[in-house]
Amino acid sequence: MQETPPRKQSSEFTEAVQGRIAALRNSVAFQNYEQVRDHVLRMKDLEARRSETVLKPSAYWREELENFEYMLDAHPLIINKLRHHSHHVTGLRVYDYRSNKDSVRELLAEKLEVLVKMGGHDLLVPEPRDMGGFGFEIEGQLYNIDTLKFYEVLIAMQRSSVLPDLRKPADRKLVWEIGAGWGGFAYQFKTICSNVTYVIMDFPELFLFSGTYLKTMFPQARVEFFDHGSLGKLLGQWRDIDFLFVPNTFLDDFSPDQVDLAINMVSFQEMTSDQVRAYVERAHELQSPYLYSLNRDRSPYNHELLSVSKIIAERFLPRQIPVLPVSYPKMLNKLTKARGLRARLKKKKKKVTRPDYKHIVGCHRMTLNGRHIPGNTGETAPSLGLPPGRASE
Amino acid sequence: MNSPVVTVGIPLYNHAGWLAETLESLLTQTFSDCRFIAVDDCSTDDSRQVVESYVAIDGRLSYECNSRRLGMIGNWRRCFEVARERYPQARYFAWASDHDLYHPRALEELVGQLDNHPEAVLAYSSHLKISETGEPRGQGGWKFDTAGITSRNKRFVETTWRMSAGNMIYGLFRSDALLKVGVFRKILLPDRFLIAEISLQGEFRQVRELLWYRRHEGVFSLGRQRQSLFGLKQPWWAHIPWWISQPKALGWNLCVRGTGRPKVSRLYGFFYAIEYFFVSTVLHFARGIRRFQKRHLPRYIENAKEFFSRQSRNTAAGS
Repeated sequence: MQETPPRKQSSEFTEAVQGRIAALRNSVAFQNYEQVRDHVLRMKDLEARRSETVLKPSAYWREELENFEYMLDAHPLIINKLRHHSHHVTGLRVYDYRSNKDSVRELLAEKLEVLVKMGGHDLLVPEPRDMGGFGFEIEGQLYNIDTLKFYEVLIAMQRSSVLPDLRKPADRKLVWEIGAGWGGFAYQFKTICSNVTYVIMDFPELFLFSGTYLKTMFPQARVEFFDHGSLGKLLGQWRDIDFLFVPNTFLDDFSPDQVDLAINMVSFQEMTSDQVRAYVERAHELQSPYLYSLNRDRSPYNHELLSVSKIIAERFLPRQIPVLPVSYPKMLNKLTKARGLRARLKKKKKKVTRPDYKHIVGCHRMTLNGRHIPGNTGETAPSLGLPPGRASE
Repeated sequence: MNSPVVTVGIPLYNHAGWLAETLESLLTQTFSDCRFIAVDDCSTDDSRQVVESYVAIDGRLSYECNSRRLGMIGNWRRCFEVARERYPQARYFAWASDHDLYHPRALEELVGQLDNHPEAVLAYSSHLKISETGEPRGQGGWKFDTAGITSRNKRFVETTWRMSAGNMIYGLFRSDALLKVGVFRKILLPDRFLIAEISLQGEFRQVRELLWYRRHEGVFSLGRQRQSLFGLKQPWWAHIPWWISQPKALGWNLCVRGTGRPKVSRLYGFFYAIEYFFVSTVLHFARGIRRFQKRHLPRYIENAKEFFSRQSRNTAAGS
């Protein structure tokens, strides 16, 4: 038997890897990443010249941002598997979706089945395999907790009659997502509502994920980054843009002539009350008819926040839309199958649980004599901002 | 005065705490060719102040207060009367609850349904029950309509068996059809009666999205409804079981008064009344059995189990 010399094998491997890296360096995804990185660096320069605002990253976020500082000089192999690295943003890891986890896969499949019964296949967008997309394979497609979370959000929007208008091909609509993470929801949303301009407002560092991902997944789309000049000028031509990335510190300059929906998922709960209020008030000033939120009222460790739903209620009439009886990170665990007399007998002993992440659709509130009306708490007229004494006249 | 397409009557009675949100959700409707008439049934809380503060900023809203308490039936009828007096040409009419929330596109969707389907007399949406604090109760999304059913008899039977009158009554009605069937009759469960009767006039269409958030307080009971429907002075006929009084009233309307003509002849009216009596009786007793199953049966089973286990323990101890 003839043995290959070990030295030659090693060199073949090295050559293969180097060849692969060179190919990846020339890939569209990596070129997109390099462009996005240039934009991000310019955005950081732009931010540095601005005075302090309430929207600077909190201590929690500063720590998070430091964890993926390496993304500022990422290797082509990292960009090739960008989704694997987005765990910094979303918390999902590829390890949890390996092929030997059949019991978890079954639970995810059960959850998907229940959701499909509610929302149909029309709104279902599976995880793409590009850029290291991962998940359990169910009926030939990849699904993970994020995929189902976004699907759940789309179902909530459909049920609350927010989505139908945005899906009409006639008028261009503007959707504003506050904190888009790795861009997963933007991808799903743009896939099912193609005639929208999707504005993402976030920490610039996060555009390394969302910007690169969306630019690669939608190669034909017009993608713009606000990193120089006037934001107003860029917003003047929003109808021709597919994705627009704006640093969060430019909230006050963000004034498009139309906003059709403002979205926040799982980041209001991490902010301070002032930060949440700044976004909610801006959405109200911009006459956004709806503000959608999927958040807990407050993260357990966040003591700087009053309550997300209460702050939303200051400017938008909140309606909570039920989709599943559990929060998005949890599985159904056969909850849905208990029926009949036997179930009723057992029900007494079972503690009723409610999801702590709430799908809230806020509808734009009126202003009364220039004053906003406080959220409803069953109070009577004096809470409406009427002059003292008038209520008893 | 130009007549709007839609008039909305808002019967008010002591819900000032939620009224501001309700009015806002109505005044911010995307369908704007409408007028809102709030009729106060002598509320003792701040309902008047709340409405007047909105009247000052939106001319489409008006406020009127009854000189004496009319009860729910009287007040609901008054809402329709005022709307017809002021805007006789308005094509559609709806009652809006003074403590519920409406989606901004609710009227737009419902008007679209009635505009696009001339055979429809009533359009309503799916709804979500919410608690006093706005928390959802259940999943919402109740489904029922008679869209596409051209047979009057089939429509009537479907409606009487499957209607959820308390929800459908807050839909958007074609004003003429509503007037023809006599609006709200002075009868127990008037909403059920109205929906059954108007089903003979045309189809019902439902929008499947959640466009209405219904705030629920307390549990339904006939005694409570009797009090709220008729106010302090309850007529003797309010105490006749509804499954007897309603078919009788339907027979009277269709056979004697001929309110269903020309679509429903007096002879057919007689048959509809008999049919209604049959369905109402079955439903009444079926509901009784269901209520027993739901509320009492589990308790009886638990007691029986306990009794037999005690017996078996005693027997074992004796032997």
